[in-house]
Amino acid sequence: MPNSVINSVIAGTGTFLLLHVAVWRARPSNSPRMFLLFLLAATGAGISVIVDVWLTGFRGLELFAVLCFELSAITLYFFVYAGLARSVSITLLSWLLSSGDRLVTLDTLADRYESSSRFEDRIRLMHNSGFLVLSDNSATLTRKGAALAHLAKALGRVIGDGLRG
Amino acid sequence: MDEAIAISLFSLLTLVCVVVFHLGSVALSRIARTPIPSGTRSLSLILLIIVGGLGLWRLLDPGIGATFTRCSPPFLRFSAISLYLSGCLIYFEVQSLLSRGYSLRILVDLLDSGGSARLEDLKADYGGGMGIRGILGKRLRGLARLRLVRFEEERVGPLTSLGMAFAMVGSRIRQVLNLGSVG
Repeated sequence: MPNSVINSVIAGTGTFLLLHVAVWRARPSNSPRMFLLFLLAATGAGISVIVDVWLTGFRGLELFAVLCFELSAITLYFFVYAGLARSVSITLLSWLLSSGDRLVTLDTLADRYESSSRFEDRIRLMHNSGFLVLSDNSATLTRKGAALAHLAKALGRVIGDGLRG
Repeated sequence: MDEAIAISLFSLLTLVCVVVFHLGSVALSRIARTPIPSGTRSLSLILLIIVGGLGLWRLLDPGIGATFTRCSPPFLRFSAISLYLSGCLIYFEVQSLLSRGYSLRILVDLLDSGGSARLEDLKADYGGGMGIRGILGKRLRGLARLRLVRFEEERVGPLTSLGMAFAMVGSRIRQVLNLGSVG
């Protein structure tokens, strides 16, 4: 494996991760901001291409290899990030970590979860994304939301037992 | 650049074969009325991905002889595998969303309620009647199956060493990224 390919991918992925952490720390939000993350990833990919061209000149096959590895690194990170940003399981694990060796009941965890605003935050994010409309403590599906719900239901049955949550 | 196009096509074809095999097995189990547990389904998908990857690696062996698959230079074989694995990860994520997606399920619940519902009802009836307690129980059973936590008769904890490691890494990264009240 040419060193230039490895160095280019490291430069691109490193740039993406640095930008990601810097932006997320400078402007915190509970929204996953996937589109912004995608733009940062594209910037990282661009950097890896520039570094490769700078190191070896324009070589088509090496650039192709750089883009393939960059794509897999970014896809892997998106996979991990999706879990970090939205996972109920990670939330439960971190609550249990703070409990130490003590046993906790499911009811205690459920009460804690219900008293937090996590469920309402998800509703609010979907309102901001145009999938539903919030008014007077109730939610109504938009056409976009209804279309997504229909699609998710249908595809969920194709790939397995359906969308269970 | 012909090699790059050939490699992309072979990676894509291998991915399509894996997806078709996986969806086919799901369809067959439904026809035969023998439901496959979700854990077994995930494991079989991982096995299919590994077999597909090994097949692709072998297919692109420069020693095989077919000129259209000969990878020159050899690092293109790794490019093919990385492209294939990216596709597999995307499929895995889509599959996970379509079976366990929390927010998607809220939308489906709303659809099943005629398009509109009060927030308290949405919360109480989440997941077709499961409720918040139900989804937390489901997630905890999944974590227990993965040996991350002990969960017996409504009592949770303590975390196993593996669970503690996941919890520490997950919490730390959420702290670094300023992801406050998420999940």
